[in-house]
Amino acid sequence: LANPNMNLRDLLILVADPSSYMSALIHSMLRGFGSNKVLMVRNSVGVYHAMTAQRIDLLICDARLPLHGGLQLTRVLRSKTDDEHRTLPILIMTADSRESTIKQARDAGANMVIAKPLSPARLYDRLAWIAFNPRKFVDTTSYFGPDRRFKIEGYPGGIGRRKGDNVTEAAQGSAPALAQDDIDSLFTAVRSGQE
Amino acid sequence: MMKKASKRNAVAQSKAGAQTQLAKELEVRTFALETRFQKMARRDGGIPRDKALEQAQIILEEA
Repeated sequence: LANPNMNLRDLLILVADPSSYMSALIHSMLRGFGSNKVLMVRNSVGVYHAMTAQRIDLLICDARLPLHGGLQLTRVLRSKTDDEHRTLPILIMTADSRESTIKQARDAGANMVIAKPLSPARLYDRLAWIAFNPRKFVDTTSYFGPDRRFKIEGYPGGIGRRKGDNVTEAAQGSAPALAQDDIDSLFTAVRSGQE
Repeated sequence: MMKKASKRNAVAQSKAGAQTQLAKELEVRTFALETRFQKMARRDGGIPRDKALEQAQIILEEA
């Protein structure tokens, strides 16, 4: 896909953040991306109620979500063997973007982590990564979640690249542009000029 | 002499325990999975990135 378009229409997205301002901000961004079904909750109890009532397609969750944090919520969701939300894509938002925090989110089973403050571009790209770069799920005695061994090598399918990238093709040399005699004569001319 | 033997036993038991734990951890099952989000997000009729960002910016400014 050279330039994939993301279709969020009719997907039920659950935004879990204690801040009503942040939730409203994310809601606005998602509406701009074409989403028409967004639920907002303030804590993990709200997440539980929302998931009991309906099937959620994507969870965008703050790492410090009350009562026990977004990472603990992720662990619990991934551990429920009989729950349809076990494989739910989870995007963790955090203001603490230290490597250790990112690793903790990864090991909890989050699909992606996004640093706060959010921008529309960052949010769109994370969602596109989840949508267009599906990863295998891994099930071990100590971990259940997306395969943690992955490497981001640029944007998926070219999303977010600068317009000029990959447009110009470098010419491939099939033969010398000048014959060796011509090259020699050029050097000879320079030398004779110096003399 | 006795002390050395018991120490050796303890080390051997610890090694065996670690190996059992490792064997359990190596019981890995991987499977490909396409979630509803991935399936639906790739449908036709999506919004191009540039337009999506532009629309989001407009809604944010309005708000």
